[in-house]
Amino acid sequence: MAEPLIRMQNIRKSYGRVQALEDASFHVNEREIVGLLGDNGAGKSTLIKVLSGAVPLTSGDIFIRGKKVNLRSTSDAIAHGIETIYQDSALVTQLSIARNLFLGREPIKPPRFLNRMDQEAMNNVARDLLKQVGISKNIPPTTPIGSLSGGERQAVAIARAMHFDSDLIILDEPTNNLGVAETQGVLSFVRNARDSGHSCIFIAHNIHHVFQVVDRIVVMRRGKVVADDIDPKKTSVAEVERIITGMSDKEIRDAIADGKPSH
Amino acid sequence: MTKTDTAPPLAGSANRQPGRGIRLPDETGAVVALAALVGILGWLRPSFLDPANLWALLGQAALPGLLAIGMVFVLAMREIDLSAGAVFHLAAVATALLIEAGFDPWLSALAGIVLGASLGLVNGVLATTLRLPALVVTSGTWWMIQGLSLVVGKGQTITPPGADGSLFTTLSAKAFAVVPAAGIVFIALALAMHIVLHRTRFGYRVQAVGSNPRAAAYAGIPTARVRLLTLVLMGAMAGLAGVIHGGADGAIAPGDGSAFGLLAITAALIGGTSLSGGHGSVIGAAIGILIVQVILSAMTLFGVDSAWSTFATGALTVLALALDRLVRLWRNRRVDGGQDHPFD
Repeated sequence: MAEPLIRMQNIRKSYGRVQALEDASFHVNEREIVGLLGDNGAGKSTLIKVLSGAVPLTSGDIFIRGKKVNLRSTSDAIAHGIETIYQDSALVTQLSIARNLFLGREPIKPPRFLNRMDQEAMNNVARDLLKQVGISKNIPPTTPIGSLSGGERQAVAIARAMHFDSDLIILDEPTNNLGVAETQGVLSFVRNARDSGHSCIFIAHNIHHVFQVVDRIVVMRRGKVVADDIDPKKTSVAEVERIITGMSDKEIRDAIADGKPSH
Repeated sequence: MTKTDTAPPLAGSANRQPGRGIRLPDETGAVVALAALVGILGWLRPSFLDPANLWALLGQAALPGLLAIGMVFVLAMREIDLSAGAVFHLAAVATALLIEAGFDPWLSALAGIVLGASLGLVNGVLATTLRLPALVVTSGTWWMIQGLSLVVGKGQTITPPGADGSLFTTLSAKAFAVVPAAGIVFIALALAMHIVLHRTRFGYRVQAVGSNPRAAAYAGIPTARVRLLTLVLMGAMAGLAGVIHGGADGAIAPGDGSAFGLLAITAALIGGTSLSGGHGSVIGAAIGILIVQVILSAMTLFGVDSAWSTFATGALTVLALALDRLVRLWRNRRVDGGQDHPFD
């Protein structure tokens, strides 16, 4: 089998005595959308933070296209083509669309020492990108993010990841708080991203959204990857839910009867 | 699932109205207020409009104004620097003592500015390594710096020998015979720093860090370095103001500039910079400090006991805070459907 785009091997992460990740191994192939599922506290977000350079790992290895990498900061990860879109923290609401697209990578006009931004170039790229992702309603690129709808914001964040030719786009709860039509819009951006050659990791609480878009489902429980090759076309939502909770139907019924919610 | 070439138009994008029409610049309110104030005062007391009086006003506004320029950057980063007034004073005292010790006035002035920047660096290093808000760090360093001023200046008024001091003749001379030199420095820097805040990558990153620090960090912006540089800038501006104070006014009294830090914050708020970060206006702050100065001078003009000026400055600060908050709550109601800023 070809070497996957991303391979994380035996990743451990502990916060003091708390083991957030215990020997988690995980991979993403080229042009693949992987759904990462797990209950709260299963270790999904820690795994993602390790991969995006936001938190250092305690032990384990990360390979990109077979080459071992050391991700010490978010800029390291970005330089390696890993772009993460965090829920709530992807965009700066008070700045314009154009400025958000270039957040952290602002183009500079010559002469360089004056440190002036090339606003014209930023606006032009932004205008094109907005059209590409389907926001065609004549929104000027100077509009602040704060006056966009939730779906439009996700679109801008995804457009940013696509523009900078990242190999892997990590989406943390991209469909949270979105309406039905907006969710469909975001899901189709994700498909577009894959079709144009990007891989994605898709994290969502709503299993139905995950089922609609991903090629493969990975489930985590208590800091471990417990299933990493679930085909959404051959598996039912109920089966995946069982794997997430790690309980049989009877155990779930008993838990509910005890007054303890199952998730 | 059918594949689509372009994404479907997004629902929920139609019902949006704010921010799309013609937007008045944020400084509009401050400009109107300043014009109205000057107009009313000129009408009541025509002598107020005397050019000499207006230029003197500009000269008085220049020193706290320089601090306000730096403070806009700090506020835009959603931080507050309380130590600015103390830095101002220590820089003034240090410069004066160096000149007294026989150093070249220009070199001493440079030393004063560098001292201000280094104090800003200390604030910045403490704030970034301890991961504390600058407000907390500077409330401590403020006392320390003030204490140093007292130790170094022995709590006395310092009058640097201005006999041949080229700096002092330059600074106390009024360029073109009317405009105070401090005023020229202030106006030039206000315009330049306005461009820095709105047109350069540094200025933009300051706003990004202030608006959403986590998003900025995740996008690869070195947030610690931005915070550090901004506090160094604040220190350098306070140092520069201190140096000019020593040069222009000739004497440095122990209490000088103690209110400048708060004045700078008030001026920035009046000028449309918000306490919640993410954005600021240097020109607005410059107009803001002029408004404060006009009000203070009006009080003198109408014979109000000068003891009230401290109270008035405080009242202005509270008023500016209240307005900032009310405008913000009102805007949030329109834009986000009642949600407050997630990181407020």
